[in-house]
Amino acid sequence: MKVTATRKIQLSMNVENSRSYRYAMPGAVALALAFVAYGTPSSASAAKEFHEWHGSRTIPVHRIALYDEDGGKIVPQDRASLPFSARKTCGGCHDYEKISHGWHFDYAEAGVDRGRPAQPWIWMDERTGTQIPVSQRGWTNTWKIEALGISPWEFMKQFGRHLPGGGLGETSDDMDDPTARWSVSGHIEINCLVCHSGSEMYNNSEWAKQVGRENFRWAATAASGLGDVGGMASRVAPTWDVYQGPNKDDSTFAVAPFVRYDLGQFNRKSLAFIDIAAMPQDKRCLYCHSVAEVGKSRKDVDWDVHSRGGMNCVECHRNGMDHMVTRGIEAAAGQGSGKLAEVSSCRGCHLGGDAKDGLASPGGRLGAPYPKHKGFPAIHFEKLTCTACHSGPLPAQQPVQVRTARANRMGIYGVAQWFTDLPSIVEPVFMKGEDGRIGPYRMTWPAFWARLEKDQVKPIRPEEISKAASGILDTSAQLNKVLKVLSVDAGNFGMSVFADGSRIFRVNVDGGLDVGACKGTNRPPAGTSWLVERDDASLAPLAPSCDPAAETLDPEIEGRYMALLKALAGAGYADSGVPVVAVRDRLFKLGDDGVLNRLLLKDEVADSARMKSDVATWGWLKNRKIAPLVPDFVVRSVIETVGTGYRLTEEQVTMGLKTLAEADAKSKYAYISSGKMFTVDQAGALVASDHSAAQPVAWPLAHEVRPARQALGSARCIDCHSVKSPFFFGAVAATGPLKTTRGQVKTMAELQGQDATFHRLFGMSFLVRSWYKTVLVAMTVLIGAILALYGLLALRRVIMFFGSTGKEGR
Amino acid sequence: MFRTLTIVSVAIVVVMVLLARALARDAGSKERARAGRFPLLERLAAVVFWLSLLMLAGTGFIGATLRGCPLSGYLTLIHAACGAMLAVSFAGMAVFRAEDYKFTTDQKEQRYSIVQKTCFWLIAVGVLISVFGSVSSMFRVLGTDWQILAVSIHKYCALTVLLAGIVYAGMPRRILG
Repeated sequence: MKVTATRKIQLSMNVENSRSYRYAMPGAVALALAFVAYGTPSSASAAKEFHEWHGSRTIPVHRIALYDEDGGKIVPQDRASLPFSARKTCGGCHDYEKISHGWHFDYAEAGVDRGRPAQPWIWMDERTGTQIPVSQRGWTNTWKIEALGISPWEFMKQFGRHLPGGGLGETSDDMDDPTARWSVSGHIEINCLVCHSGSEMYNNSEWAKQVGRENFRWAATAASGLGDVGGMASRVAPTWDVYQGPNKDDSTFAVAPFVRYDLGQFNRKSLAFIDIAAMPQDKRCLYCHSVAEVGKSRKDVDWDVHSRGGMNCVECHRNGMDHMVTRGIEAAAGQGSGKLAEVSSCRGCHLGGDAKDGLASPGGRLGAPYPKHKGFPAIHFEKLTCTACHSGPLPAQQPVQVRTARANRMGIYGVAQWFTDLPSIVEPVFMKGEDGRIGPYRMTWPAFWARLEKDQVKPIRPEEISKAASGILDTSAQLNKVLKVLSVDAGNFGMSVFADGSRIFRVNVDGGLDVGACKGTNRPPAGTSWLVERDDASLAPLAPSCDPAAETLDPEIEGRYMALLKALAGAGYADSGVPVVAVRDRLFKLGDDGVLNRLLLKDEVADSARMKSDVATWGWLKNRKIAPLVPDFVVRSVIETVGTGYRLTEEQVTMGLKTLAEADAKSKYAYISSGKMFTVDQAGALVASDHSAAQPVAWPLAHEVRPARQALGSARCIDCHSVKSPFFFGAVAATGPLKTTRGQVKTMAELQGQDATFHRLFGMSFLVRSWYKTVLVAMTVLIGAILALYGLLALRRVIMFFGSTGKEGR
Repeated sequence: MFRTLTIVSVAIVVVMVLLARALARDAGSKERARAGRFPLLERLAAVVFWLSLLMLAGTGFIGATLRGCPLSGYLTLIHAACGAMLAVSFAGMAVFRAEDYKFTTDQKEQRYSIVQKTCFWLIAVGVLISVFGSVSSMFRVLGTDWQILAVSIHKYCALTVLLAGIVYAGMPRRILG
C-alpha cells in the first residue's frame, strides 16, 4: 500500500511509538515553551481584544482551535496531545481573568463578598458520623477549610465533582500539604462548558469521574466529549508529570492519564466545533442545583412554576461578562451587575417599585403577572418574604427531608451509586432572615468529633477519629467482614447473612451492609443468628444440624465445620481467640494439626451450663470463655443503624469519647450532633448539652415556586393562622448521624422569634372570624342605614328650604 | 406625616376644649338630660362605646402611630376586639339617640348642643368608614394597593373619630352663655 504524505505525517505523530520520543520530548517542551511565549496569542495580548456583545442576537459558530495549558495548538491526531485548556482556548477571546472573579469562582478570594447565605459544602464521612458545613465565605455556623485543616487539594477532591472549576482548583502548589498532587493532576481551570455547552454530549458524570480519578486537567475534555480520557492520575507516582507521557512500567493499573480526541469533531485544520449555548440550559444549572424530596418519585413533582411557564434559570439568574450571577434577591439591588440585580427579584419582576422602595423598576418583566393579593393585608409583605408563601413544600407538622445535588452527590450516573442519604437536610423551616423577614429555609445540623479547648470547639479530622476509635465506629464493616469470612463455599451452602428476627443483613459491595426482609418462605429464628441464604432465598443455619454426641459425625457436617473454623482462624482475629462452635454439650475446634476436635463443653468453657444450646453457637474461645463472633455492641449498633439514616449509636459515641479521653487525659472531647454537644461525665454517662457549635446551618430556599393558587393563604387564612398551624407550631427536630432521643427540637415560632402564645390566641380568633365579620358587616349596614336615613331627612329639609318662600307653614 | 398630624391635631383640639371650658360662663346645667326608652341599655352602650374608643385610641395611636410601626402582637388582638365592641355599641347608640342628635330649630327638649350633635354625626361617619374599611379588607375584594388605601382611610377616619370624641366629651354644654 502506498503511504501517502498525510499518512506519513500521521505515523510520524505516533510519538509514543517513536524511539526518539524520550529524547525529543525535553527539546520539544523547550520549543513549545518558546512558541507559547512568542508565537501564540497569549491571554495578555488578547486582553486588549476581548469580545464584547455588539448587539447581534446570534452567537458566532465556535469552530475554533483548541489550545492546551501551555498555549500549544492541539492537533487531535497527536496521541501525545494534552487536554484543552479553557484559559488558553476560551481565554483567547473572552476575559478569563474577569470571569474568574465571578460568583461561582470567587469563593476563596481574600475579602470576598459573603453575600446572602447559601448552601454550604458538607464535609462528609459516614463511618465516623462526620458532616461539617464548609464555606469560605464565612457564613454563620460554617467552617472555613483552614479551621478544619483541609487543604485546597482535599477540598477539590471532595467537592470538585460539583464545582465548575476555578477557585481553589487553580490554587498555587500548596507546599504545606504533602498529599497535594497538583503537579501530577494539573489544576482545575474554570470549565466554561459546564454551563455553556449546548451539546447533548456534555456529560457531568464524566466530569465527576475524572475528578475522582484526580485527572483534573483532563476532566473538561472528557466531560465535553471532545475526547476520550483514560488512565488515573491518582495511581501514578507523585513524581510523574504530564510531559513524561505514558507510564512504561505499568500499562494496566497505574496508567498515566491520556486523551484521544474524537477526530470526527475536528476539521482538516484541526478546528473543533464547540456547541455553545450563550444562555446556559437548565440542565446545566440543575446538575449542581437540584433539590428533591426524599421518598417522592419524579412523576409526583410539578417543579417550578416559572420552568413550567417556559422560563429558563438564566432568565432571572443572569450575569454580564463579570459572571456575577444575580441571585434574585432584593438585597442584591445595587450590587453586582448593576440594575440587573434590582429587577431580577420576585418584587422586581412582578411588582416593580420606585426608587424609594429600593427598586426602580416598572415591573411586569418577561410578562410577569401582577399579583393582586386580594384580601391579603399588606402587613404580610413587611413580615414575610415572597417565598414564605410561594416556595418550597407546603408546611407540615415536621419539615420534609430533601437531598441536594451538592450535598448528597446527586446527578452522577454510572454503575456505582454515588448519591448518599447523609447529610440529612430538611425543609421548609420558617425562620427570620438577615433582612428581618420570615422566609423558608433549608437546614442541616453539623456532626463531628471535637476537642474542647477552653470554650472553643476544634473539629477532629475523620481519619484521626477512625484511627483512634478503631473497632468502635466501623461496626457495619466488622460485621461485613465476618459475613464474608463465613461465606466460604457459598456456591454449595449460600452466602452468609445475619438475621435479627425477620430482618436480614447482607453484605454489599461497598464494604457495608444492606438490610431487607427475608425473601424466602422460611422465617429465621427469633433473636439474632448467623445463617446462610441459598440461591432459592431460603435460610438455613451455617452448618446443618447434627447430633454432636454421635459416635461419628456426618462427613459433610464435619467438613463444613472445618471449613468455617478454618476461614475464621485465617481471618486475622487471633487476638479474639480460637474460633469454636458449641452444640449442646460439645465443643468443636480445630487442633494444631488442622483436624477437627470434638471436646466436652464443660472441660473447655467455665460457664458451660449457660452455653448449652441445641442451636450451634459460633464464637471465639479465650481464657475459657466463648465470646461472640462480633462484640454485642457491634450487633446492637448494626441493628439500630443499618438501613436507617443513622450511623452511630449513643453507645458507640460513649465508647469513642472514653477511648479518646483515655488516650489523651489532658484534653476534653465531645461529639456534636443533632443540635447538641455530647460529652461523658465523671460517672461515664453520656450527657447532652447546648452549644453554639451544634447550631444548625440554614440557607433560604426559593424553589420550587408553586402556582398562585397553591400559595399559602390563597385559599384560607387558617393555612397559617390556626391553633395547630405548622407554619408556627411545626416541630423542627434536629437530625444527624447519631441515633438519639435527646436531639434539639424547636418549634417554628421559636426559630422565627415569635411569641407562640400570641399566635395561638390569634389562631383561636379565626375560629370565630366568620361571626366577627358578620357582626361588623351588620353594624356597618345599620350605621350606614341610620346615616342614610338622617342624611335623606336633612336633604329633604334643604330641598324644602330652597323650595319654600319662608311664609308657608310647614 | 400621619404621626405629626395626629400629635398636632390632638394637641390643638385639647387646647381648644380646655379654652372653651375656661371661657364658658355657664358650666352647663346640672339637670340631667331626659332618659330614653331603654335607659340602662342606652347607658351601657355609651359606656362601652367610650371605653372601646379609649382602648382603640390607646392601642392604635399610642401602640402604633406614635411608635411609628404597624400595629402588631397582642395590641392587634385588643384593637380588633375593641373595634367590634365599638361598632356594636355605637350602632346601639345611633339607634337610641339618632333622633335626639337630629339638627332642628326646635329649641324645646334639646338634649344636646349643636357641637355635640355635629360631633356625633362626625363620629358616625368616621366609625362607618373605619369599620367598613377594616371589614372589607377581610374579604377577597381589595388587592394590595386598595388594602394600603383602606388602612390609610381607616387611620384618618379613626383620627376624626378621636378628635370628635374629645370635643364631644370635653366641650361644655353651653358656650359663652
